[in-house]
Amino acid sequence: MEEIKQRQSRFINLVNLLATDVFRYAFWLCGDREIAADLVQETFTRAWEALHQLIDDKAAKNWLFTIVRRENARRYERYQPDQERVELDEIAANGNYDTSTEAFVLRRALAKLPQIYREPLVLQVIGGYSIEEIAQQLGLSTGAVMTRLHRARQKLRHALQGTE
Amino acid sequence: MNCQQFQQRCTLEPACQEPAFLAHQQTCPNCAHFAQELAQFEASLHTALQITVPADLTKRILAQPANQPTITPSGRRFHWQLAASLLLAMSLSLSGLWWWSSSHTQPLEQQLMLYLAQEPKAFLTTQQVSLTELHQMFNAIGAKLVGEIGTVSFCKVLKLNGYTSAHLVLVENNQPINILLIRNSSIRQAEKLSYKNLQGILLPIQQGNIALVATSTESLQEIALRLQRVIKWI
Ligand SMILES: [Zn+2]
Repeated sequence: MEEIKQRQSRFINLVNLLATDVFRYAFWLCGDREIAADLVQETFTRAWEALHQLIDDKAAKNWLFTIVRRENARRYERYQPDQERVELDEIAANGNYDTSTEAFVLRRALAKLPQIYREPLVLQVIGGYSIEEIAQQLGLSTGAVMTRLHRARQKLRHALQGTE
Repeated sequence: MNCQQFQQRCTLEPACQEPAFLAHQQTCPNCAHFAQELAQFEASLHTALQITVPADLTKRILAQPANQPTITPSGRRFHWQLAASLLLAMSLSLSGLWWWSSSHTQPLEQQLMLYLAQEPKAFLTTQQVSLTELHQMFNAIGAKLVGEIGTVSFCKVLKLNGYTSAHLVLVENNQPINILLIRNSSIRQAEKLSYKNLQGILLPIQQGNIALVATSTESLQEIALRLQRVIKWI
């Protein structure tokens, strides 16, 4: 029973520490709050089951992000959603921020950004990963990651300047 | 690092922490200004990405064992569901059915199901039991393993109604199947077992009985046959 208790408290720590980041990453991957919440649940279920495989808790974020990405890919295999989309209305309806700010414009621009540009950017800004780490996570060369990050920011800047 | 390299890097990775990058920023006012302007954009970007998280997110994750959403029934989800139902069974046994365990005259079948209901750990363990441990367990009940048994995630020796028994959890298609080998017990007729959402079969074997319990009886019969081929009594 002691073993189970330890496992539980370790799990609760992970949830408290990382659920927010995992949710945000999931949201920008799938573009839907409900699906993101499901992905997070699914991810933490997997995490609970495989907790013994996580040797160092410092690697937990990496590990959870990998699970989210895999679960999201599985979802694509199952349902073949029409296209990647971040629901603009949903973003707009998801208050708690001032629509006059840059954040609003940026969110719309982020939603329109193709997944291949958005994902490395989210990993960098939300995940706090270096270019090398993103390359590793996504199985890309560092050169490819740099190009995508550059394009992503360029598109967002244009959006802010109203040139796109 | 020169100015061009710095600015290139800064555009790609504004939060770069490399010593050469930081050193240039500190010594070049031009690039420091460049970085500062970018920092504003980065701050906005950061805010934009930080969408609101559902207020009950953490609560929902932690309530998961008892409150599993059912988007896709998959084998791996099984552990949670079963664990939850077992916890429920346990609490019931503690309130209304307490007499079950206190009585020694209870039929073996009931003892067996009650034991399973009180051993949720068996369903939560996902680590594979080593062959050495398995051999030790079989040895302890006077049996030996003579062939391939499959993936076992839990094993334990116990007394059931006074009979030396072994409990193992076999993982078949991601589903845990509880196996109980009860030595020298004398139920001579195959029986169906059922308790809450657990179902199983109890079969007479040469040296006692074997019980197989899961959430459905599907394929239990075949597994029983397979087990009897690889387990020999000493
Ligand atoms: Zn410079």
